Amino acid sequence: MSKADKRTFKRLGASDTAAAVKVFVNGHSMSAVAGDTVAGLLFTIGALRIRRSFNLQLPRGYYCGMGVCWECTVAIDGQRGVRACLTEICDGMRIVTDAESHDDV
Amino acid sequence: MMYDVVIVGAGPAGLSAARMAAEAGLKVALIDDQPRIGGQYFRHAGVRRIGGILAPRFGRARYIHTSLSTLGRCGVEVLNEATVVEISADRTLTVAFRGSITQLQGENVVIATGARERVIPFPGWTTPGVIGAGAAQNLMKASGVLPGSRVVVVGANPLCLLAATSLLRCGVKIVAVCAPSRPRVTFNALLRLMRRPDIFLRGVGYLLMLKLYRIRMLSDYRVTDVIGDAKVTGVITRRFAEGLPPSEERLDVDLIVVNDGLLPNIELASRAGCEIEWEPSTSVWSPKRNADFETTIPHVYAVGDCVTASGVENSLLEGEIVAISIAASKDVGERGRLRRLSRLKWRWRRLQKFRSAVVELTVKESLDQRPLTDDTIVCRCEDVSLATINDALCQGVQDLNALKAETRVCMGRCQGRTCMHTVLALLATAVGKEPDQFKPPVPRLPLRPVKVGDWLKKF
Repeated sequence: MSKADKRTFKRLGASDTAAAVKVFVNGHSMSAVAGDTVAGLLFTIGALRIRRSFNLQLPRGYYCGMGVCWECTVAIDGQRGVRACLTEICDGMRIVTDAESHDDV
Repeated sequence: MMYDVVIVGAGPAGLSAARMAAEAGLKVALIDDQPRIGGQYFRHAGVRRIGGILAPRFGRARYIHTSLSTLGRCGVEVLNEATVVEISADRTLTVAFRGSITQLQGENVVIATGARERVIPFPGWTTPGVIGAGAAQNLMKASGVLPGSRVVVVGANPLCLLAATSLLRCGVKIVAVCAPSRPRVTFNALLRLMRRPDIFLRGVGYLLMLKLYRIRMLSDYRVTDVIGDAKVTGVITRRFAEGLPPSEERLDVDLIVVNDGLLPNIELASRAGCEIEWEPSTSVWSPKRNADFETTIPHVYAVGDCVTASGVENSLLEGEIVAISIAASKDVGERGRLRRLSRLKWRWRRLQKFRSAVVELTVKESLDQRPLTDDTIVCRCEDVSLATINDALCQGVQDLNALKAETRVCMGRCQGRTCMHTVLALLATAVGKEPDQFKPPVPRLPLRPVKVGDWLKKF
């Protein structure tokens, strides 16, 4: 069974234009809804810790939800430093958490 | 490219301004950093109704649909996922948009950048699973995702109550609402609340619902620690009340929702050179403006929550008013618009009275009421702890710039948007000044982080 079947938090209700797409989170393939935010998907699979802080390597995750705090940055299709809360899911997206180190800044 | 009006922010204020200005026949550009228009309030991902009968109706899809058709019909240039990185004296905005840099010039610029959440730190607030009340609303509204199953809400302002009832109606267990002391209700404030009975009743509804579900209201309790490393597993609260022995309690939760009010996003206005003044009633900086919502810089307007956080009704009104004022100054638009303008302004004044009562009845949290420990992180981006800041302050640091140079607070990727209010409060206490005696720092280019590669394409 894929990882999608043991999700931590439910996704409720369907969108008008709900389209199930396939994405990869850290190499695992799973189904998701196009147009949802990447942060929302990470919550449903229980990946609350999205990255570690640059200096003290402390666990961090989704916090402000609107692109202010930069705490939820992930790598999407090889592009690092993308805010998960501002990015909508599309088909075949490759999402990698914990993708940053201090060298990138 | 030259426009009659360039609007920054497509939330309720920016959107209503764009609609009104476009309908009056002005050439409008609308810039927003989210993937879809609507801001934080209107999230039209299409989640109409989640959960059961009691579930809240999210989406507010109709306003967005009519807006989209109006914007399309009137030929408004809409730039989604675009970030304003610079504004110059001739009102030219430099915008990072889809991997490149473009410039737009506006005869008038309307700043409708909204507000962000204020969270006063507490030990463990950086743990994954501690999120803002607005952030919790976002997850439910945009994606229909329930962010937790057992939740504690910390704070008692209107946004916290809204988040608590939304979570409740979606079937999430609210373990407790951890509120500061109760407000003192005065007759005068009640009278002012009656200026907008509709909004007042909605608020009463939230309180009644929490009462009906017997949600524990932990009055005078504060969070002293968060349990869990990689994610929240519990929270420790302690009662701080005069005359009562302190009692400590552990609550098992998987999500902590916090909010201590809203901070206007003044960075763009500040960069444009607008005068920023201290607003003592809510302890925030806000752009100074005249009766037509024009800032101290001519042809630069500021509307909505980026001036004073007052909610969606106010933002929609201010957006309409500013669009009509601009149309009037350009002498375009419908006849009878002056009568319309005075009617809108009358409604706006009523709303301001209502707002003043809400502000009065909301108990303000302050930093000295939080049981911070030395290792509590204050600046999330740069991992600066309270001890590091206090060390610098003990060495005689007198102003914000020196503190930034010494400790790197406010110098990470959020550019001080998350921690500056805390740092300022610490600094003010240390040097024995009031926060209003400090000048708000003028942000430098770029206003938001931009990829070096994108920036270089400009040249």
